[in-house]
Amino acid sequence: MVFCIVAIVVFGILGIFSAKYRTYFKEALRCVARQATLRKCDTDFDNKIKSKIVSKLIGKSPKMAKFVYKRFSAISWVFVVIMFASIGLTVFGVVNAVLYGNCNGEESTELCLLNPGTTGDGGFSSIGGSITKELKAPSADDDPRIGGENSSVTIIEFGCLECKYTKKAEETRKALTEKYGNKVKIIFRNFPIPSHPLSREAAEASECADDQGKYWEYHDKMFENQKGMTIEKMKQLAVDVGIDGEEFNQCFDSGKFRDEVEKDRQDGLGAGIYGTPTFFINGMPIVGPAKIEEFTKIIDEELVNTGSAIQEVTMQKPVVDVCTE
Amino acid sequence: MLFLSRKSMSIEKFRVDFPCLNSNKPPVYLDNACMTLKPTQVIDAMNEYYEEYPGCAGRSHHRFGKMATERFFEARKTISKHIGAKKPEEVIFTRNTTEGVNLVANSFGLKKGDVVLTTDKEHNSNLIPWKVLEKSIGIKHVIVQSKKDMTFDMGVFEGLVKGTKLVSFVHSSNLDGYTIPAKEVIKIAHENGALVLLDGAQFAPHHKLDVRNLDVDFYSFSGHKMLGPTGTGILYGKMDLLENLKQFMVGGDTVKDSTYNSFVPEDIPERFEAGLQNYAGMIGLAAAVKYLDSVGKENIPRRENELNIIASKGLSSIDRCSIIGPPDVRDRGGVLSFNIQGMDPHSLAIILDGSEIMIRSGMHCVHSWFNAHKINGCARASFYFYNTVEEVEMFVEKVVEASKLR
Repeated sequence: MVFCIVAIVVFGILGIFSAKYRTYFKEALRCVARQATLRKCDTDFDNKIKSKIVSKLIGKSPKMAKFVYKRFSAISWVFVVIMFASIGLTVFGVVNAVLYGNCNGEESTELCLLNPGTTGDGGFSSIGGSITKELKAPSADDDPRIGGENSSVTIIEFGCLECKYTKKAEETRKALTEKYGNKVKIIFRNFPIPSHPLSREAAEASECADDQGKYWEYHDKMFENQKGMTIEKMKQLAVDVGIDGEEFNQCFDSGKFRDEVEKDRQDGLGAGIYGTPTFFINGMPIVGPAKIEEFTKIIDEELVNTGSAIQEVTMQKPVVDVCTE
Repeated sequence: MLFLSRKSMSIEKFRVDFPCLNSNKPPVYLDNACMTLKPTQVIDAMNEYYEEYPGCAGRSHHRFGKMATERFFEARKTISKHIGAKKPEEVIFTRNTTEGVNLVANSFGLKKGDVVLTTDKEHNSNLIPWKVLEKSIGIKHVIVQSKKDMTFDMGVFEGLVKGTKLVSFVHSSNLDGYTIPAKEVIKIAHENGALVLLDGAQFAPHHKLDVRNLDVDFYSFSGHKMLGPTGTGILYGKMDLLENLKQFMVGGDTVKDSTYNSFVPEDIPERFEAGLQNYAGMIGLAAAVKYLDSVGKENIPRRENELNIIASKGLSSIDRCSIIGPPDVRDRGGVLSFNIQGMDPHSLAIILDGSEIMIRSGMHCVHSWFNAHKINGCARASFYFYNTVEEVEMFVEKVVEASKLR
């Protein structure tokens, strides 16, 4: 009975691909149905499968075969518990992925297998598609920047103001600014993620703030208030950082920077970006809110080569950790 | 012609004829009581019919028809000779033993109150037809119980046979391999005015059969248990008795002529072979009996029993292993039915299958015996002449290994 419950799920899935497993599925289903109605299972299904498993094991490890033969029921129970736990976690993950773009929950920055390519210690918001596509260094454009204008190291960050991973990477960005000062130039380019409902609006709002010379103040404020963001809140935050509210509202409501945001996004797509945040340090990509050591290692190397220009670099397997659609 | 040796050279000569056994690691096939393997000669004979003369026998005047008629008659002649029948017409082609028994049961003209005797170890083939007639027309079905050691109880039989219309016994049991003393049984039955039908499904493939010497009235057996194709069987009947049988299944080929109001039955045996006969099958079965003749049927029982002795001795080392059947292995032919306490026979069969050793598990269509003895089936290894000592030793080794799982 216990094994048949596991078998229904396992062979049900395998049965989609092979008729052989459909027979097993039917036998398991019949067994469970009969026992659920207090009748004896007449298929002897669990015994058959136990014997098949033991027949494979006995030639390789008689001890293991004996253990499975004698403890099959207990082993079945373990699998039932694991199966239901897996189903529960999968449903939880899918719901989170749909609602928040990360299967681990709204606040989590943990690895999520539903998000392609997460191999680091953080997450990323994906735009979907293949993660193996090449990343090519983009142009800096005229987007907001901080640090030394003539520095030999340029970091271009593609981020989403609604993405929690971009928010997490802010700590690193600030630490780098503090550490390197004018030796490094950091440029923030918008890459709104569609699964975040107000990401495009947030990007346009930040451009309006830049229009009034208050970009970084507004940028920080937006991340501080990322949770539960609304249009009204965006407008209020602008006022809070000392921006002229009327001018800001006019800028925002007219969609003045809509094309600019779209250009950022297209440049990002052209660079092969599949999630936010994605950084290019003199063209070397880092995907996700990686550890600061990963950044400093590259920056220090680049600083040694003083005066090196931004080069186009192609990587098959970039360092991965981002926010995607 | 056959002899038992470790090298088994004389057996190798025959084994090469079986495609199933011609691989680097052939399976150990020990389910011969259910179905035997087929030699190339049988397969070729059937293919020859389909490829070279696939016509209707006994009616078409073209070349295919004439060849089919000739080969089909030859097949009947070969089989009748093989079983010692007086003439080919005494051989009725059926699909299997079951059909032969049903034909007799339904054509014999049994009436309410007529007594039919069977043993307590009958295959469903030779039990259910009588149970059906018991219900439908009220015949009396009486069972001759075996002795405690599972051998035939002649005393009980003699006590019951008086007034019996038909004795219908299994000749060799598929349950335990035991063969009843058929000649003596038939003699006593005849002395008491009863006719005898034997279920020879497990005897005919392994022993030299001489129906005239036995003086048996009807004898039914299957082709698939004696190297022949599936769907082939034989019912032998003495001609004078066949003439008195009613037609059972009728229609195509069972009449010479018909009007809207009447019909003229076909001659024997065709009147009992309704519909188009299994030409390829019977030609294949004839090839099978020729093959068995070349093997030398008189040597097969001894060889199979010697394999059974090795296997039985091997299993005796297993704790709580019980063998079903007479205690003397020489009475169990080539059948080894056994149970290992604490291990389900189906599990054992599946585990052995993992090592390419094929045995049977279950009640082997002798449900009545198992139910009466409250035994939930058994494992069964059944040997045929092509099995080797090495195969039997491997079987024993793997059963011993599996028994340690308990």
